Amino acid sequence: MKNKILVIFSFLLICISLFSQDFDIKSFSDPHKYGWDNPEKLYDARSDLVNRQKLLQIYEMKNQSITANAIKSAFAPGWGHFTAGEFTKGQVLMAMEIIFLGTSYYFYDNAMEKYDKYKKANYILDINQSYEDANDDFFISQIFLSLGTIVWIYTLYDSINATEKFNDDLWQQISQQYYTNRIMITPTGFTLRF
Amino acid sequence: MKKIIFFLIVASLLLSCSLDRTNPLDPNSSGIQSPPKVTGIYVSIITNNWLLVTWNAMPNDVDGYYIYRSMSFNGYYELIQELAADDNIYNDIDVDIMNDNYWYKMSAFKFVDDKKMEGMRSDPHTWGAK
Repeated sequence: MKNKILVIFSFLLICISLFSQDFDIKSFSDPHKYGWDNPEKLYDARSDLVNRQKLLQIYEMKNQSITANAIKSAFAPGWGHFTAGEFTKGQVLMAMEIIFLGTSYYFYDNAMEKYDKYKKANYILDINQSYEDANDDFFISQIFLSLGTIVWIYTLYDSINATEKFNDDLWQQISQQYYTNRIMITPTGFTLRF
Repeated sequence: MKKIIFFLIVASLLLSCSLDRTNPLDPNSSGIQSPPKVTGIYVSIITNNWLLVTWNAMPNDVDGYYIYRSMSFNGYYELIQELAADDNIYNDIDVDIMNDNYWYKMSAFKFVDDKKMEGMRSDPHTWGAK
């Protein structure tokens, strides 16, 4: 048994050594494949990388979480938009939600009042009339509740888009500020450009 | 397109709800027939202060009657008396026909569990008209 294992292991070692390639150090360290024809270009590329890392740190501090904004919008429609800087849209959505849900509650309350009358009625006409009146108000309440639900779902979906747009614009803004401002304060210090 | 379909589904689900008919006196929920309308109502003058209201009794179909009175045809009809199922006359002595008009409506009721289910009220009647 041990001999068999030894034979198989030796066979595998021979195969590996026959089929493995030599590590080509020259091609690995060739700067030309990155476009670095001279040391200056190499230093520029390195400096650009360092700068981008600084910008990334600023971006990570200021960017917004999509999940957090979606949860905010789920709790209070429009809140996610306010956080993402879309104030007008947030106000409109919040106002719509308040109007729809408020109207739905108003008609629901009326419906329940008439429903109580229906439950207590004993005259056949009152029974039918009260039920129809209650059901009409209940139906209107359901319409506004549906509209409120649709607005709520749309707000959730749109808050995600708004946050993504905010984060995209943030990166553009940070990059632009970095390349136009002479003084830049970063988490690791400050940069002065001449 | 998918969004529109989704929203339509949400809306239709919410709009398909309606209130339950839970009143035990509701014929649409309990299947109970409402009491028949009172027929043969006639109002006659006995004296200036006494009107007699008569009708066709239905002792086998109902458990009693309500009689309502108003000072005008389209006015508010006030419940003035509850009567037994085998009654077919009512003496209204709280009247002054020289100065006022009186219109009467009647309805029948029957007991459903411990509640009274009132049927359709009749058309208004006054003296001299059937």
